[in-house]
Amino acid sequence: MSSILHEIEEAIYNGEDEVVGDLVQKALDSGIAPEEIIAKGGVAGLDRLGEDFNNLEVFLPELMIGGDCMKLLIEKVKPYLSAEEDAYIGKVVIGCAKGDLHDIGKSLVATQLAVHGFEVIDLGVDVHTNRFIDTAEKENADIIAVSALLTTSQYYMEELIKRLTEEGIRDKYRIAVGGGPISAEYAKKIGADGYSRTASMAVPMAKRLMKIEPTKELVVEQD
Amino acid sequence: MEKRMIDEKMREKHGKVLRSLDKARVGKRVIEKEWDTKILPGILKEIAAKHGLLKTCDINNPVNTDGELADRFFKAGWEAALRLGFYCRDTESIISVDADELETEFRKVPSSFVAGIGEGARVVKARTPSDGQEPIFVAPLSIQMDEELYIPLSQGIVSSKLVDFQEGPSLDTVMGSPLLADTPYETFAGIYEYHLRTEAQRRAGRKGMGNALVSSASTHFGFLSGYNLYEQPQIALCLNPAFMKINYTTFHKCFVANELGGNIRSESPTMIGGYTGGPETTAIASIATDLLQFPICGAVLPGSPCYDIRYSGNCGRHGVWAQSMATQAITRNSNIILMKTINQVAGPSDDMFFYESIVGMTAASASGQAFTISPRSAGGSKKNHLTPIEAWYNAAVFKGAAGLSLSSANDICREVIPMFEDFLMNPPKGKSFRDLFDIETLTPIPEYREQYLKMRGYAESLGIPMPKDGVIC
Repeated sequence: MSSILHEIEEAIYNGEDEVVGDLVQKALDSGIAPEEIIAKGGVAGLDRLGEDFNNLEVFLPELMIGGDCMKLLIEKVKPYLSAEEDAYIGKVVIGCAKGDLHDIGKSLVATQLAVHGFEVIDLGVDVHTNRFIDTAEKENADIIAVSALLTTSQYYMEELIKRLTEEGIRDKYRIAVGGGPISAEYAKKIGADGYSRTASMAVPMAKRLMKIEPTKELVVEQD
Repeated sequence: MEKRMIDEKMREKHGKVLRSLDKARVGKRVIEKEWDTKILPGILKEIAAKHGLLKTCDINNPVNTDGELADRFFKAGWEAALRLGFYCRDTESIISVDADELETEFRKVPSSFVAGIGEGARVVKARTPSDGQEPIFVAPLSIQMDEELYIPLSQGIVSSKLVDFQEGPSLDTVMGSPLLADTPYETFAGIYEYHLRTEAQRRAGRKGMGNALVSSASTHFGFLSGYNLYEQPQIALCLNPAFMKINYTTFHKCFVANELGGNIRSESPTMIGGYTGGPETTAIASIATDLLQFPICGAVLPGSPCYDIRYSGNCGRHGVWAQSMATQAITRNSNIILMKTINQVAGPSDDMFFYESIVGMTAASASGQAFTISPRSAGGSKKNHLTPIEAWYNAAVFKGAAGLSLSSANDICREVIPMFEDFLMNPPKGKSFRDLFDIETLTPIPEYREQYLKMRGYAESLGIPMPKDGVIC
């Protein structure tokens, strides 16, 4: 049993998307609980990737490919999870604010969230405010995460929150903001729900966000 | 004039950019995610292995002193330039440069240019490592400032002749309205910035000084409105959206700059830990990006800095190593006028900022960088966290270190890096312009003045000749 889980861990770590599905099926067929496959196979591989990323032994592409493999794993085990269980901690719609093309920080956050149990819909760069809202509505998202490196784009974060309020749907989404010029003070000023100073801090911030309702308090991860 | 003659003139000025646009239109289609996660990293890794460059990063000697190794990196960068080209985001296709074209353009790249008018004009020349030639210092980077602080801050910074040209700061409001990206507010910002900046330079007695333009506009709108208001020649900021990528925004700006006789600066940071992988492959990507700027968009001032993704700066060991290697590869093997930014993460008035500046500027200058733009106080992330003192300090180190040997530069970095590297991930943000300066008289508070002079003394004790700023000393 442990060898199949170890093989899954290795496949996730090495980004072997072509074998993940078969290995997961093999594990399910041999009676291993889906939660165990996720935790001891998938998450184990992602944890190794995360540690090696911090030590510059693997890099963003490996992290992203590992995250994609984890998505395949979760899609495979989902039908076997009980009704109370959810494969994902939450669903995040993420993108760079309008006018901003700097994607690497956003991609890093998206990848970190994906490898730590969130379902992530990445809208890319230069995302119009309406697109954030339309996608969140369509996908029934929990969190809308907006990144901005440019001061000329950070205004669209405030615009997003105002638009949601005007449309009467502010309480449906937790709004997380981040990026170079963004601060906890700014997040508070515009009425956001979450802020993290770095990409790796986005994960604990998002997990804390999922435990509270939108607009109730500002969750900050910066130290 | 006959169309034929007009076409000839146009070809001379705009041929490169037109050719690149045509290539973007018909080039090989590639999905961006595949480019980022498979094609680029795969080819870089293959090239690094082929040239014996994997695992050559020596973090205990952050400034490279091995010329032969730098030459091998140059060859690797050349190969990467040929095999990769630039990815055009708007057409989702590759702009390739073949061997003949790269060779031809490489020989034509200018080794000097002029920016500024009359007494304000400066000649910018290519350098080689440790050559002692005074490099050009430009300040500040486009850090966001309250609009009422734009003129006093700019005036303060450029009041020192150590600062050759001006680039930032940047505005986030224009006459009280928010400066929204991709809107007519940006168009106005290009115009507004011109008026604020020229007034600041007039007050400082620096009329005619050169500029890197346009700081307060993220898309082409601000550039298109503002750039032509300045008497040429100036430096045109035609930055790439990402390393080894280009877009229509850059091309819009290049056409205008070339028509007006401007000098194009183009770059985007490569990220250690990001798509370019480790320090070795990041250095190769940086070299390749710099080699392709002139053939693809006519940039005479390229310079992709190497940042560390873990803290978005480059004054730590890996960042300094990659940047010094990428710099030396180019400056040892070409006439390219090279610039790269040094990205401090600590804020004004914290000793860490000065230590980062010593490391970054010394490594850059000794490695042969001809030009830099600085500072990036607090990583550019805190509004109003910028004062003239950071600019003057960086200018003095950058100019003073030009004649240092690479070995001396390495010794300096080895001594100073341990003083701050534990704080790179969570740096002090420092204080604001209002906290540290009397805005009316443009003088620093006594404590900050003393700290500045103390840190100047410290740099001198390390062996860096520090030219006087002409304001405080």
